[in-house]
Amino acid sequence: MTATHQVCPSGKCAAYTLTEVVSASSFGKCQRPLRLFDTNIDRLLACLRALLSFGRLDRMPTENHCSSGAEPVIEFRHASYCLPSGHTLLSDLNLSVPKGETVALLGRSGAGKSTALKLINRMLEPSAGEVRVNGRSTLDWDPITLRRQIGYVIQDVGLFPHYTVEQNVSLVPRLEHWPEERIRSRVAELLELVGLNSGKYLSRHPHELSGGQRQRVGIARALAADPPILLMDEPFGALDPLTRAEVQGEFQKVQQNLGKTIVMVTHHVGEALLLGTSIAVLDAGRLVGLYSARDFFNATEPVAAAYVENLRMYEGAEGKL
Amino acid sequence: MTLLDFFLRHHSEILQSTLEHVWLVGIAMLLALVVGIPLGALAARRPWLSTPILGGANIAETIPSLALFGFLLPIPWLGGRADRLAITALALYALLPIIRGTVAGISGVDAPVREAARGMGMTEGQILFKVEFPLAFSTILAGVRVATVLTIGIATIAAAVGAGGLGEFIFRGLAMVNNQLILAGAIPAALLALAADFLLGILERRLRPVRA
Repeated sequence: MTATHQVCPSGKCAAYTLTEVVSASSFGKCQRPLRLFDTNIDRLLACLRALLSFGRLDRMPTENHCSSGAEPVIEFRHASYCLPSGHTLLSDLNLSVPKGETVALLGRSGAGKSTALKLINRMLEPSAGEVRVNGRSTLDWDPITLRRQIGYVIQDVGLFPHYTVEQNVSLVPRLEHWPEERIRSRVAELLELVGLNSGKYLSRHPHELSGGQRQRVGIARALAADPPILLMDEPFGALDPLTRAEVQGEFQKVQQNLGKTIVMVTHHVGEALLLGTSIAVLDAGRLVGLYSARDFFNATEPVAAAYVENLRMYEGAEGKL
Repeated sequence: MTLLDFFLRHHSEILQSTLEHVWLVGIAMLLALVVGIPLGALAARRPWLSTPILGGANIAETIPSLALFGFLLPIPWLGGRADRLAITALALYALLPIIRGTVAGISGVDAPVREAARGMGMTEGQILFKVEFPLAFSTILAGVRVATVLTIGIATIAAAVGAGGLGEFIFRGLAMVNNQLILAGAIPAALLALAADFLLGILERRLRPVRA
């Protein structure tokens, strides 16, 4: 039995497919899931509402695939990951990320979010199924070539403590043997982009920066060689709420200006709604729902509903005043 | 005759022996570094190799020094010349602290730093030379420091197989029951060890990486 949910985030309908269960043995491991039109009335209505309210009737969902037929930049096909001990961290994930979109992977700790992320840049290799980047399985990519095209930002930033800000940011361009002149202007440009006045910070070491500044440098470093894809693993998780909001704001600008394809792991529902074009909810290694930010509030699926409930709880706290 | 008189009268012989001693230790340390650091890096990278590597170095360390010189004696190329024999034995002793230091230094690199390096597409070699070694340097040097001091002490026993060094005075003094002769070997050896410890300590502190 295959159930496919269709979502229409901001009018770009249909590039997302979610296969809940593929058990029939007639489906080969690498075969695409059978696509059925979604019969979930609630969700269709939500889609329609969203479309109507934004006057985008011209882009009504018709097929499960983008009409342009463009290959998604990142595609999980029945991707699973098991530890050698046999413990399954991620099972049968099907998810497509079209060019220029930001998918937020939302879920509890241990839901398989980071595992999914690491499958994209081949930090991990799928135990079953495949993950395709630009139409090629990650296993067919040379891991170094693949990773150089993918920016990677992690919660602990992982700046090199023995390098200055300048050396950290210019790391990948230097590995790629860019001319010195180009590196210098690129570093200045990037630090400007993430809101760090370049001259002042260039020669500082990571321990001389605040947490927020470190994360900004981390983002600048990930963007240095202008990779088309950006992976972010709880990038703002270690920051206090105010600094987080600031860096998120900076990042939103980056997102709007650069048109990167982004996959972001978060357990912060507000962050997912703010930065994600769509939100993939994971639970216990399975994808349990895929929503546009607008759809998310109408989700009936328990985990997503719990997140909405959680968000409302904070809103409710305002009632105390 | 006071000890000072003895030192003054025999200063050229003592200096000669001290230089011999430094030479033995120096070459042995170089050998141990060339072998020990790659072995340490390997043990840190491949956990399944760390038990045999550290185990092997541990065993070498437990053999009493005089016995080790004896064990090496029948080996053809080594047994032929006393200095070769002594240098090999000393290098074996220096191995354990160097390997330990290297493993500790590399394993001590923060996991996020290594993950970021890998995620950005650095090759294993680039991670090792641009990230792990620079960050592990002071810890490796701490191991080298211990190894050097240890080797300077053990090198006095190399005189037993005729390799020279400050041990010559000590063994001669023991045979002749002459305390001044023993001290003529022991004091410079002790000073040498202290000096090496002090200098390497300065280097270690200066090169300690800044950590957040």
